[in-house]
Amino acid sequence: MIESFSGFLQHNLIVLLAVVLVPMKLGILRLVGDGDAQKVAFLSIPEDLVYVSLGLVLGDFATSGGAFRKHFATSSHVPMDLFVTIMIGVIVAITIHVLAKWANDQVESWRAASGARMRVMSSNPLQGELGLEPADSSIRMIQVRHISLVSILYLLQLAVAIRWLAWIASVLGQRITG
Amino acid sequence: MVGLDCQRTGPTYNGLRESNLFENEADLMSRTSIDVIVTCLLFVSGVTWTVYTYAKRDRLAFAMVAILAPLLAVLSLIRVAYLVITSQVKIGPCPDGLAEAEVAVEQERQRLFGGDLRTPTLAASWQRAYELELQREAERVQRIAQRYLVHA
Repeated sequence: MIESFSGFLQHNLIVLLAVVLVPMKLGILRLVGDGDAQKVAFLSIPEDLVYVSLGLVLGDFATSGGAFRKHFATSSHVPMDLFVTIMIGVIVAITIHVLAKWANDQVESWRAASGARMRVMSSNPLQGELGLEPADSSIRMIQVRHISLVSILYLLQLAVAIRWLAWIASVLGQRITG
Repeated sequence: MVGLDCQRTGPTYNGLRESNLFENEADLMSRTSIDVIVTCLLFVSGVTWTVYTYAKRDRLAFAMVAILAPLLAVLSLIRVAYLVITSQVKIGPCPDGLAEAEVAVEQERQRLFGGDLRTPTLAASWQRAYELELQREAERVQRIAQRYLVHA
């Protein structure tokens, strides 16, 4: 009972690491006074998580009686299983990095659309009454498109990173319950 | 002796005790729900933070769009699939000024962040799709007209 509870707690602590990481990261960036990094702190969370997960895997491999060796103990080719686990970790990291790059491109385009909209509206105070509504609605449509893509790409990154982290947490949790 | 043992351990399924199966299922469900909650929490915080950090106007509206976008995307895909299956897909004309707005946004992006000037694709793709739709519609009308003219 106590063992299964501690395994459950370990799994959730590793997954909740994502939630703990955010205020810690924001606090550290605030302490350092890096405003630009603070603005993108949330967007880079999936990448941080995937590197944390790689660290957990490699850290476990470093010990002789690690959870992953125990997890694959029944397999007839343990080294191959461990190698595939690392390769999947690397593929997940590459996938999330590519998704993050696309998301950042969309954020830039969305910010540019915001800037273009502000410039159109502020370049002449009378423009609001000069029938420029179509241009504004077009830019607004572009903004909606970019922010929607940012949102979908960010959710994909989070889903992949947390699913991968959850699997690693479940394997690490077996060390206690197993 | 055997009966006593059965009473103590309970019925088995594939070598697992039934109570263990329920425990495992409950455990899996609670873990999955925590994973989903963490994902949703981070997603909502992340997109809201990004919108409130960078947006200068319509912050609430864009935050809502960003939060609801994945759900709307899924619903839209289902709707498009239904429309494609029932052959009811209609593409409207590209809005006036969208191509010019895209060029203005791209120039602003290059001014702000540098890099190469990319060719915008949204308005062009929309226009092409609309023209194809018109062409298909015209061919359909032509086919019907020819059929009736032959009969006449």
